[in-house]
Amino acid sequence: MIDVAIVGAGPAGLTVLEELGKHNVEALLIDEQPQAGGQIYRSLTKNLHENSDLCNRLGESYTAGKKLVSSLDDQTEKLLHARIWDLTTNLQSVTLGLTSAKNTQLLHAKQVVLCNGAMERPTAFSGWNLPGVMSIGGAQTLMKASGLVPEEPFVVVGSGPLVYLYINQLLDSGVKPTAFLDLTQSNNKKHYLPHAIKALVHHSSLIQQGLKWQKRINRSGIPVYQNIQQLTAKGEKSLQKVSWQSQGRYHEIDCKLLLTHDGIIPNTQLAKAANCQLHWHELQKYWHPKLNEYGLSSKKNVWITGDSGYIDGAEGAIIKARITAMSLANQLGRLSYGSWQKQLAPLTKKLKKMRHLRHFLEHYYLPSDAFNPICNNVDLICRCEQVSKTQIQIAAQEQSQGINQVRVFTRCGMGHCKGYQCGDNVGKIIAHEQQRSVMEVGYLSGRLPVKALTVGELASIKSG
Amino acid sequence: MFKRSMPMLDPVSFFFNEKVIVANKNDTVAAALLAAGITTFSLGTNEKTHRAPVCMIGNCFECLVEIDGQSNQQACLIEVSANMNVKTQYGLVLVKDLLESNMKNSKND
Repeated sequence: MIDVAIVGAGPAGLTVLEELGKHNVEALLIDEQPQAGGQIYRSLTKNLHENSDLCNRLGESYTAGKKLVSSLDDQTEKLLHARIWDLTTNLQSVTLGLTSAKNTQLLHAKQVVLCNGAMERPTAFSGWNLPGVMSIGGAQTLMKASGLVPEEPFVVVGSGPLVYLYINQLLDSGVKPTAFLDLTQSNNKKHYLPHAIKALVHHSSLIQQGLKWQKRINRSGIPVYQNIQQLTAKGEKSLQKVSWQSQGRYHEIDCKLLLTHDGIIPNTQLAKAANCQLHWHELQKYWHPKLNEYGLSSKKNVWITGDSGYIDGAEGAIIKARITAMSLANQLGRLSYGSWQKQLAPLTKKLKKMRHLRHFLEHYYLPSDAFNPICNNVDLICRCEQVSKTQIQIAAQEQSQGINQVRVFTRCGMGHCKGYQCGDNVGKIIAHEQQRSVMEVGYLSGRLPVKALTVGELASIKSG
Repeated sequence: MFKRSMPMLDPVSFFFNEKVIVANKNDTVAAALLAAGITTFSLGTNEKTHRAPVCMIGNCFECLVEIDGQSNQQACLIEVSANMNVKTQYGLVLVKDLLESNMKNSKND
């Protein structure tokens, strides 16, 4: 049995590995991708080597990961390109079910650190399931990993820093969105203003960077629309037309690609698989695992850090990962209480400072009503099993059931994605129908396997 | 939908529904198909639903295809290799067809 299994080789996972190494804790790094770096530094090692032009277009926020990804050398114990389909815990250990190019195995570790990062909040609206409607993060991944950029005409819709960054990366690639539907929807000024001031004081350069991105978009001549309503994607087999209303006027554009974004949320699939308790973030509308200040979940041997614990961005993820790794080393008896506490203090201070910016972003970029199934006219909620909003509403009204019963009755969340795309929306719809809070309604419980595996793979596991 | 902004330094060819597609080495199957203008990766449980990638990071499962005879493969997580045989996945339609053909066969027996 190994001491620690680290899931995810992004900023958090790489930091945990490095920090545990300092305290002689044996750890195995596992990731789904063939290269380390996570989604933010996706393909960075390769691109630095082969595609300096692409690195320039992706900008400093991308190449900033150079030091981090190069910390991983050939000698590092790691398991890349491995698919994790199970995570179970007992009092003494955790067991990961995983499939790699080599084999399918059950890996036992004393402790696990989940660093599986964030994902984009699914954007549900009328026609969102048509091919050609894609997430901005997905499109950015295509650019990082393969140098792909959208073909004009195309429309970008969403809000938040990632949208501005991506449009800037496109402008640097000589590509211009046909329209940008800005969904920025802020909390009451009196709520965000105090945070805005603190963010400006502590992070003026990052705020300026954001303003620079916005300014460039405004100067580029891209038509920008605000107060978007009735956003609709139309087409038969794939997207042909996007329509919306802005300031009471109807607009439509013929295009084959619509890129959407509604902020990022923690990826909780593995936390749910391990039955860790989750909490609902009322302002940002997402579930995040209940953690102590060091990143320990409600399960004694499951630590969760980085964005998979709480959205803090890459820099925050690195600080949190160091805190988690040190605390874990202390628990394993490899770091004395005194030196743990001594090293912890400056990190906690740094994290507190980082959160000034986070609190501002949380209040300024709220999840948009345009993508909220309660506020819009979306029909299909569960894409895998083709369950409509009406079916979920009826199940919620008639039998006044909980979310997991609604799943059983309608099959929503039972498909391949295990509710990644519909889970939070199903919760919102039930809460609305039953006039309860989302926190009270709860979330779709984790079901194994997290990812599909064949009977052959399952049967090939060697016992012991 | 998408175009390449860099030359293909290391071309690899594979098949999609028996048609040859040229991609760059290290492209995921999903990136290669999108760059080739493919819009339907699979048909959903209802025959009218066409599906294509959304998230590109392994969460949404909208990019499922059949690869070398194995169905339910996440095209965004698998890199192309020479002569790989990729096909549109026909969701439950295929299961229905299989059942029908099995029934026909058993009648013939």
